[in-house]
Amino acid sequence: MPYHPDAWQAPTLGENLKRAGVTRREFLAFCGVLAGIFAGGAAGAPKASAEQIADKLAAVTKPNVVWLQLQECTGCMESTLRSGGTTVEEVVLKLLSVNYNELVMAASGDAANKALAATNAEPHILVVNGSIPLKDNGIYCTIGGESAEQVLRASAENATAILAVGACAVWGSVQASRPNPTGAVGVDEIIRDRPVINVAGCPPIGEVITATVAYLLAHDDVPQTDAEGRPLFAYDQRIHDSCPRRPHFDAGQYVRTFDDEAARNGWCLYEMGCKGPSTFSACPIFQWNLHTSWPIGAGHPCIGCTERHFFDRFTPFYRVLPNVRGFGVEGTAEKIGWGLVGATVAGVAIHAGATAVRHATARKTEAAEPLNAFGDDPAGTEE
Amino acid sequence: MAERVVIDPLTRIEGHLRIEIESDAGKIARAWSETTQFRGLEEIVTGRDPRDVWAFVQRICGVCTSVHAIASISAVENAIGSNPPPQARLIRDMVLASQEIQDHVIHFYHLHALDFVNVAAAATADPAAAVEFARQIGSTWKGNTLERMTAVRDTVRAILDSGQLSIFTGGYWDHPDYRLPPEADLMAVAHYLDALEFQRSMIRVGTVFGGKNPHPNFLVGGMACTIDPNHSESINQVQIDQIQDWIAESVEFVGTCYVPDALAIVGVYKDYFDIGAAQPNFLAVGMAGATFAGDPATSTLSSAHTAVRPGVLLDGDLATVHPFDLTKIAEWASSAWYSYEDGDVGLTPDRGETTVAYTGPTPPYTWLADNPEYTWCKAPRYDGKAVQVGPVARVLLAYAQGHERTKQIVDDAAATLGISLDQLNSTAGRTLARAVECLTSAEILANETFPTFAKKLRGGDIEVFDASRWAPDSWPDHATGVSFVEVARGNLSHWVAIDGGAVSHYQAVVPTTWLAGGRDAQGQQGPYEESLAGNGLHPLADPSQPLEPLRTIHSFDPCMSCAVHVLDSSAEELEAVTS
Amino acid sequence: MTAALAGQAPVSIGGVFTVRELSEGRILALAAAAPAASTDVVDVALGAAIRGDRPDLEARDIAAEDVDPATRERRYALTMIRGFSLEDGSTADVVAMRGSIEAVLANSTVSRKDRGLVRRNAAWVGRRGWRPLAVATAPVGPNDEVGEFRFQGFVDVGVGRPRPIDRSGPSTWARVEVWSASLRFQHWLNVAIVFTLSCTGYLIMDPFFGPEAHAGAQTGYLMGVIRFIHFTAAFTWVVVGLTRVVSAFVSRDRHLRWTEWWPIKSKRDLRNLGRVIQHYALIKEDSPLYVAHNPLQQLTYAALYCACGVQMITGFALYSLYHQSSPFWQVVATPVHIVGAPSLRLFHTMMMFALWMFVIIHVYLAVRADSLERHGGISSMINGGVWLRRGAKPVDAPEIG
Repeated sequence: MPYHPDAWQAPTLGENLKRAGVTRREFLAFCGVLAGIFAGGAAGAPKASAEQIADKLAAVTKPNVVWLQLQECTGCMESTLRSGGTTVEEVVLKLLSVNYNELVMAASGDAANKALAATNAEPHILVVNGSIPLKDNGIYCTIGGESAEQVLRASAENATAILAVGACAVWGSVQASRPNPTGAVGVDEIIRDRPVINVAGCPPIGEVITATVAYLLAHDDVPQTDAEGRPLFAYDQRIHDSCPRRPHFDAGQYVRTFDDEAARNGWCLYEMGCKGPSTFSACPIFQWNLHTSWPIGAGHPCIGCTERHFFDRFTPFYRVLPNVRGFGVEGTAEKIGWGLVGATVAGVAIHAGATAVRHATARKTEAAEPLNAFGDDPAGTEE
Repeated sequence: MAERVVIDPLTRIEGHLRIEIESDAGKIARAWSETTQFRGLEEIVTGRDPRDVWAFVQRICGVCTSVHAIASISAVENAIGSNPPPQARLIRDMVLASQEIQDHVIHFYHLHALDFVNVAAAATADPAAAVEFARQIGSTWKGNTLERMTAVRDTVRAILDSGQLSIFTGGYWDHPDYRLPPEADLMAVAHYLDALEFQRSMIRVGTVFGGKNPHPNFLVGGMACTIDPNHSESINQVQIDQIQDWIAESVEFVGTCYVPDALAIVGVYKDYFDIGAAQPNFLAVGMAGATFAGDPATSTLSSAHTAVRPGVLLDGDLATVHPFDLTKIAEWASSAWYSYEDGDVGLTPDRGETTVAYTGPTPPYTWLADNPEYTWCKAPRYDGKAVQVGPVARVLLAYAQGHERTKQIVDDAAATLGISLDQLNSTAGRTLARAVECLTSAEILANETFPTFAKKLRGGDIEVFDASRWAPDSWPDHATGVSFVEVARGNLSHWVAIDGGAVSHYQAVVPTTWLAGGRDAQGQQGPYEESLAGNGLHPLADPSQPLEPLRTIHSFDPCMSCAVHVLDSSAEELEAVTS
Repeated sequence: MTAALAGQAPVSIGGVFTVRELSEGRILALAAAAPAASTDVVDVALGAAIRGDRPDLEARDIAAEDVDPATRERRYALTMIRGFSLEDGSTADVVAMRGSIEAVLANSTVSRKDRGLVRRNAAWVGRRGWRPLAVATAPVGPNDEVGEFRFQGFVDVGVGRPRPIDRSGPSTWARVEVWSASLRFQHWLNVAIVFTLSCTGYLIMDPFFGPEAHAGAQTGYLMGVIRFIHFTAAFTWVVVGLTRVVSAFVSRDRHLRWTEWWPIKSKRDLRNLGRVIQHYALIKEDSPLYVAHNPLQQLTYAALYCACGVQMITGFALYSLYHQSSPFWQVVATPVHIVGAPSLRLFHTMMMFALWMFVIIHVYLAVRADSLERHGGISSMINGGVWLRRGAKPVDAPEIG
């Protein structure tokens, strides 16, 4: 081997960054971006200045990371690759030592498994993409001959923090949608004795993924989360509440058909089935792919991909409300509601009719016995 | 004495692939391609609103994001008779092209290059020599500066020095078959980092139109993004200018960085033009990005890519283009964990079945291939033959149909490297074809698709959605649709049947299924298996460091989540479709 | 007292209703005034009734020419009675008008109050199978000029086997105060709030109206106003609901207490519940008499209170999504984390339609009950009192006297 690496020469990340040619100014700029992201979560998240973050980040040693990909589509790794765009943000990947990740690691097979086992044996950060199929002994996803559950449990044992990144790892995503043929579940269904940070989304915004990791390093603690384990800095408010199209919602200005004049005006997509009012995510704030655009910005209603079971609970995507199950594809609440109201009116009418008929019958029985005293059929008046 | 070698996980691919090999005296004797993930989306999309299904099937794959969504909406549009306006088609073409270019670049630098590039050696290189090496191979990339090369070398050193090798942990850095000089390694690592930045930028074309990436949003009947030169909330000159820049960037990166790098690497590893040949049958419906809703052979609907027509090359005859007939596609489950009602037969995709019948061991296990069934991946065949799809198939088809730019690039490369056309059917050939195609795609995007779109927009053509077939009551009671799309990894088709406004049958035949499938009932190996064990000559010098088979498998650009036959119908829905 | 002719069902005479100008006996005597030789079944039955039950009354023989019998066109008979003895002991000549109650009412005078009572009582006996034979009288002057007819009462005439009528008490209706003013106020406040919430909620679910898209469209605050109204009404509703819940536990008014929401306290309650259900299913005509709510109503309203509570909980869970930084609203949001916001919206919407269904049935049954039982249930929702027959024995109150 032509090159013999020495031991890690500098004791802290800051010094190693200096060795890597990263200036303090560049590093501060990066931390400023991080601070902005953290501050994006308005409430709860402690506000830290770029300076403080830089100091903290520089002081940490390089944590080892196991980044598993279980039953999934690799979209979350792709999103991670698209995070950021400055050279310093590139460095954030080097803040860590990602010793195992199937998509990007050099080694395969036995060598990869050895790297995994070695990292598993020591304290490390565990990042999980993908769900865990539990049905039929886990045959629906195996890695190195082991089931996803076995792989996850082995990696979780010595993990100091566990991040479930992406809808699959959070709740199972598309493969866990009805009828969930492989029995796919999220990480927190397997790891129950420790908190799991749920970085939700299908996929999550790349910057949010990397910022969650950076949060661990900068704050030396897991981020504050909401009731579903999602970091507040990215999931503390709904898309609806920070949507630039919100004024159009409040004004009653809605897109009625795709590509209509209202759509070109950027009016609200509520009537097109936008799930922004039900979805906690910072998409309108951070936006996607270097702040290029975001789903509603590009004219498509939000499909709610940061919410659990959105493939079941948020569909059909182009309707305001979910369909009522058992009433076919067109079983909208509005139609069924009016149907029920109509049926009630009809039932009431029938009941009223039956009541009237019954009483009329009673009267008829009386009249069947004509009595002269009442003038019913006086004798002699009939010719 | 045959030695058993297992490569699992096979990394730097999308999804989970296991390769089992029996090797003998440094050569591969037998090989099995085993897909170890199944998600069963076939049941999940059944009964759903067809307008929603793109979002489900898009999640088949996050690497080839967009392509399944576009294939899905095209198939649904074909079924219900929706007719997206020309501008919407051009937008989809641009999204497909940007995805394909990004995908090829990611594949070459981040998934494939480490098979040839020794990162550890890069730390010892002289940055000036790296700059000089780049100049020699004709790379005029703006990143080839002394400062950049020095900075990258220092970065690599810092990582190695730290003792924490991160993603390079466990790499085969002392394998004898890393043949590049250290300065080439350094240049490649620098370009590895540049490519990361490039792909972030390039993918934004999809973000403008689809709102995010991965998994942008699409719409049955057109696109949801409005375009209007006179509205601030629609895509207008601001975005047009940005896209123009990104496209120019991509032409520059692919032309000055990717293609020269690919040529240089396959030039050093020239013996790989004689290694890794799979069956010499090739199928494509056009150049990259070609989209057909309905039967490509008869369809009048096609994308902007009309220069190359659908066709099939068979039995190594690279000059005769056979007409493409979609009824000749059949899928076998002989080596897969499924059972067909009619036994071990080939089923056309519109009649496909996916009934799980797992016969493998309970995990953990150590060896699968003793079983006749060993994979979740079915084996598609065209007219009974295993075929290759992907860049190599498209390049050969374009060459056979006389596409000038393709011919020119291929001929130049062949002359430089001293190879013949049929040597493209090889490990290095597939990698070269991908680079060639990436260049033509970038040029077509820059010179045809995007200018056409921008010109029509200037001319006031702002319609992007066909509302006439949006409401389900405008659909026929029963409808079937199919679409073919030439995506990064090859020929993708989605097949849908719609009954009473809901999906009653869905199936996708995916590039990696064509390539990664196992043996069929005739014992014919899948292309992966054939490329490793076709002639018994594939090298495997050190079974503990299976670098050579990684090169060959990576040359196909595997995408396993796609491959597993995710979309299909159960038997009872099938009756509704066929009756 | 039963008279029958060949081929005819027996005719019987039941009780007498009087507007209290004349005694029941005199009403009966007036009704029975007919030629002795009359073979009309009603005359025969009335004659028999007088002779059998009231020997104190003189059976008057009327000359045939003094009787102008009823016809189809004029459904009453006119009979000249000479020397009819009055309450004060004097005698006078009178003309008696006797026949169908509607015809007699139309041709005689009666006070407005008595007219209602007459109708109510006539309908009551009618529903039990009797026919009210009405009687009115007019004084005859010295020159045989006939004065104004005054309505006097009616006699129950039964054909076949009508059900007996208990007239143990005075034959009239009593007004019973049931609903307190606060409850009535809450009821109508609820109506207003639910109406407001429904209208605005429907528009939030489907804002089918709204400005057209054109350049320079005015940006108003339409949806904002709708939602403001919805939220304001919702908060008001919660206050009303809480007030009601508190009063259910502290009020001394029996009809406000929580026990009114749980009707099944004994076996008899269960039996009565079954009878009420059979009544509404048109299987049985009678149902147990309740001054306040019958057991089915009690159960229904208990369910309604729960439904409204659930509607408040789901509504506020959705509302809380605006305030996820507050610990209080985080707790309120719990249902969202269990089923997801869209499912909650769907549920909230379907509950609205369910409430509409309740309202339709509620209004129908109230109108129906009032029109069948004449107890004034509808007006009671405004003025608080219901009408009950004296002597009626409600399940949930002492005998009406």
